[in-house]
Amino acid sequence: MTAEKEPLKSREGDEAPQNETEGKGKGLEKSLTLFNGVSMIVGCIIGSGIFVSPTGVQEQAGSVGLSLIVWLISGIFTAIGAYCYAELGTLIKKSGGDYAYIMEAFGPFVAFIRLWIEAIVVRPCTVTIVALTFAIYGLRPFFPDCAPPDVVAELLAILLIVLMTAINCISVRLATIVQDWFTIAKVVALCLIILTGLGLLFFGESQYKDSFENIFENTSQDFTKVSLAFYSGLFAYSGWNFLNFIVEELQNPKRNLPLAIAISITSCTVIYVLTNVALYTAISPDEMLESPAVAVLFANKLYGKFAFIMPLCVACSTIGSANGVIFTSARLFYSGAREGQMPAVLTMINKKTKTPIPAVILTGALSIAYLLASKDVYQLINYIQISYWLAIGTAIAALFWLRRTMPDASRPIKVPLIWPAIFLAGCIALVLIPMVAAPRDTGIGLLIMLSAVPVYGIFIGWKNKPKWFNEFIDSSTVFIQKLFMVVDEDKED
Amino acid sequence: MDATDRLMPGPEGKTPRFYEVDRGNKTESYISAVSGNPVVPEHIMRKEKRQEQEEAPPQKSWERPPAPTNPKNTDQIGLSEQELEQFRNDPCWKFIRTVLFVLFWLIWLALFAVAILLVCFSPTCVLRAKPNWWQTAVAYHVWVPSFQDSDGDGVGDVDGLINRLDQLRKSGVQTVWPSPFLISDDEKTAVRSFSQMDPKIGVNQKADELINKIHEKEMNIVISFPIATTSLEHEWFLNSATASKTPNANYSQFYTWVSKAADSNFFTEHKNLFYLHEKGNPKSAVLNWQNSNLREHMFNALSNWIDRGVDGFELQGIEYLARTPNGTEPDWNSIYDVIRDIRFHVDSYSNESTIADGKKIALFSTREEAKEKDKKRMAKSGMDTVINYELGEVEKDTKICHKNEGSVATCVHEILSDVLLFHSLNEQVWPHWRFGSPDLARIASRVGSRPHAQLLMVLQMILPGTNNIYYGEEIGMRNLANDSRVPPQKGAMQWDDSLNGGFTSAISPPVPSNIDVANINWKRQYAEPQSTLKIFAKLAKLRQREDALMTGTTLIGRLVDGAFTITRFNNFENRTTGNIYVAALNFAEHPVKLPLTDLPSNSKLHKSTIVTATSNCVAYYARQTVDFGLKEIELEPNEGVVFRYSA
Repeated sequence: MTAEKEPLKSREGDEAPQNETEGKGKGLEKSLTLFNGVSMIVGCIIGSGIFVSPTGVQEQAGSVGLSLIVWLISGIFTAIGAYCYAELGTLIKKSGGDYAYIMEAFGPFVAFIRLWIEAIVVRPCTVTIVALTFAIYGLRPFFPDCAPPDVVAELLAILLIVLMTAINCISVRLATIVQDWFTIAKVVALCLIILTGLGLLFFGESQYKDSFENIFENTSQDFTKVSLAFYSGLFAYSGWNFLNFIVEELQNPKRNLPLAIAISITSCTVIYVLTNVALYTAISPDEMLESPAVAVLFANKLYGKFAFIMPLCVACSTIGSANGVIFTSARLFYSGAREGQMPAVLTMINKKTKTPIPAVILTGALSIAYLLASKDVYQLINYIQISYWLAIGTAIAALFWLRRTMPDASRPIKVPLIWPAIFLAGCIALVLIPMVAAPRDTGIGLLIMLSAVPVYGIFIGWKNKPKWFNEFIDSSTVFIQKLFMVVDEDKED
Repeated sequence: MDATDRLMPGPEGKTPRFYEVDRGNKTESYISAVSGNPVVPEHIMRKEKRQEQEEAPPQKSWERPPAPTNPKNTDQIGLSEQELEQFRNDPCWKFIRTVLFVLFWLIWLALFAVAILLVCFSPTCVLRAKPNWWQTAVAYHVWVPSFQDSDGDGVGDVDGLINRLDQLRKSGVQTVWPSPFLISDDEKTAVRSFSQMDPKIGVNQKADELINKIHEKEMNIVISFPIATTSLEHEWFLNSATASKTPNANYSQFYTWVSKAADSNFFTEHKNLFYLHEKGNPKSAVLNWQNSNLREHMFNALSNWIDRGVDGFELQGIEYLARTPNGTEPDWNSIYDVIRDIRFHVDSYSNESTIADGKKIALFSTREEAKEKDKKRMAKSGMDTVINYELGEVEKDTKICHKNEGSVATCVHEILSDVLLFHSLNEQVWPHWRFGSPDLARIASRVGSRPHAQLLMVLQMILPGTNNIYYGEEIGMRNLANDSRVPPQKGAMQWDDSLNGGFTSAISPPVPSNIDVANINWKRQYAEPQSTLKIFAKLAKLRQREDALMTGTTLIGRLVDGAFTITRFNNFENRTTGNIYVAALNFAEHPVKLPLTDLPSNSKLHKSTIVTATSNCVAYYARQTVDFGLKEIELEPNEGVVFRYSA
């Protein structure tokens, strides 16, 4: 009798903090079905990348055939990664994703580097890229025949970042409403492209098949360039590792998590390949290279006076993506602060609005900084991808390490080691090849990552901080608390 | 053992906090509260709970102490909720928050307004007028009898042309110009009817099918229209010759009849009277455009083709629209008036017609020996383009391209410099380029070098204005042997490596193929990335997309050892914008280093992209990124490159 009661208490105890930490008020929905899991992952993956990356993939791959192959292989690679992460997610249930895994396996210093990359580089850069995509697509109807003035695109991107930051500061409900509606927009855009393109391919004139003749013509002979194509492709798939945030809420995770991964990433791969096939029906490879806004070019060619629908849908989609990244950044800071590796003020929320204002503002500010530093969307992708894949590789290495150091721990999902081995090899390749092909970009990326080291030394490793330093930190915290009326979430416990 | 290992990281992770507390000189009670009861991470807590289940009694005692002290731990970081609450309505902080909030939105709205203003007032796109369709078109001059046979009689026909339209579209062609077209005695100006297509190439209804198919492919069609002459078999001439009979009285003034021949080169007797005809060509009688009745008939003839869908006309024989009384010289002042009337009629009819629906109808003409002032008068009269015939004279070892020069580079450069200067000074005269035609030997044979022919094709595709490409030049066809049954420049089109190059299934057709058809054919070149055809197609399509190539300024570099550059760029309000395109061409038999110092915005040369390169080029290939920061490019013999960079 007593034993039976205790497990129930334990579960309730686990769930309650989760509800509060998520700040989403999921009291009415205590668990997710398989369908919920699939739709959440698909929603995270499909975003602005598919509207920007085709140009990047085509540029590096060189030919239509190889581009489609890159998209397919990227999908397969993503699926393998997600499968490996499933084991990590069910083995270590702390929130924080791969930050928690690396902490467990390699200790706080390496974990901090991972946290720093994600919080200070990857998330803000992603917001920047998404905002620039919004600007490119949003300006297209006004500048159909030439490039808009440089400053306008940046200005619009900044306006979007600031607006999304403001919305996320003001209201959680407003932020989730934005998220829901704009998810619909990207689905509409992709459906329009796929249905139109495939319809023309099968029933249209022969001009829609031109891109598929000599399908491997102009294939890049440079192995390093082909490798760079994967960066653009994999960028479009980014978001696959968000699945671990939901693992604790999924019904029957041992069965449903692998199924959710398989279904959602297969769906995304099919959607992405079909989207590219559709784009190529109306756009030749040369035209694609000249237009960063491929979907708008597609619509202009095929929809006539209704062409404005496409930039509208894509712009809405990018708004949703930017909102989603900013919305989820608070969790990242929370997991870091809980380990004492991030300022506590970043976990504080406003009681009235229930929003983590300091964390949101920090992400927004960093995004704007990256935007001002480099306006080339693809350069930004290059910068963050190297650090990103280095971090992912470290997380997979953690899987091997934990197999060795915790061999008997409970693993609801246990993957054959061949898969993490393949994925780890891929990650290593994705880190090493750019060092040869784009050493300058790689250097910048690594420098950004290594900025974590002095920060760790000063704020975390430094045991004997002077009194004035601690007082400065404390007074800053208090000031921010008063300004934004935020308090530590832990107090509710 | 495992339990001990897992416990280790926890306390270590929290060690800094102990020191912080100690260093902070907090109150004694605060220190004892915190030090005595460290907060255990959830991770460890969960594991301990599990152990508790296994060893219930000892763990329970461990678990109890932390709970009561939780409230006190809340003081560890920053202000508590209660402490913070008093600042919510504090006048000072409230004022700060309100001011910052309002200021934030004001700045955001201001930036938004700035963005809108920048979009609205940006000059780049809004002010630029789109060129007419024919101004950027690549017009493909087809010699129908040599193009494609469909019925196996060994001679090309309209059905054959229709079957090949898709390949023309893939080649980058936008306008199709079929010749011969109207039924005639000589395949030129001696037309028998202005409304009938020549039955040798197909029944008249096939013309409508051809026009519709061309439009379906989103291309345009222009036809040759002998505006001033007819055949002696034309109904009008027959009626005019018998004008003495009452029913034909109206036709008497359609032609110029005189009782005495002033010059036998221009007048020939017919039924006791003499009629005016083309110089030395009695078969081609000259119409009398001064007669209003004739004008009406001719206008109707043009309108008929406009209604059938034709997009433009080459007006042939304009020098005969008006002549001096003795017929030996054109009366150009009167000719200009006639052209102006034709222009007016074509425009007004196109606007009124429910079929043409306001479509812009192109009028262009060839005028040999035209001087600069002549071209200006032609343009002013309403001719959309006047073909620059000068490049048709490019031929190795002739008076134009002297043997001493070694290659055609010098003469080409001279001709181009003159003609481009003329067009830059007279923007109202739209350039129209022609290297080959049914009356000229093929380029590859004239310059004696297929690589040079390829260079000239690249050059032509970079020039400003409308472009005429004679069929077969896009794959580098040569002249037939001189003993062929057809003129050497009218050999069968080389489609593939099958019988007769895919032109016809007939054995020993009247129109023969060249002996190199197995190697030089469309199908093979369509599959080769750097073939002549692919170079042509890429540049032709690029001309449809790039402002610099559509309406941009042209700059020809100086000749350096048989090599030079042609540059196209947008110069808008004295500011260079968009992409800058450069063609660098080396006609010499030795490597040449071409300077790029005269190019606009040459500080941006370090980030250039190769658009295309000639077949023999090894160092450069399409889409390659190149650093021309040294402001020079080295070309191997007979090499050509087109590259671009952003202003």
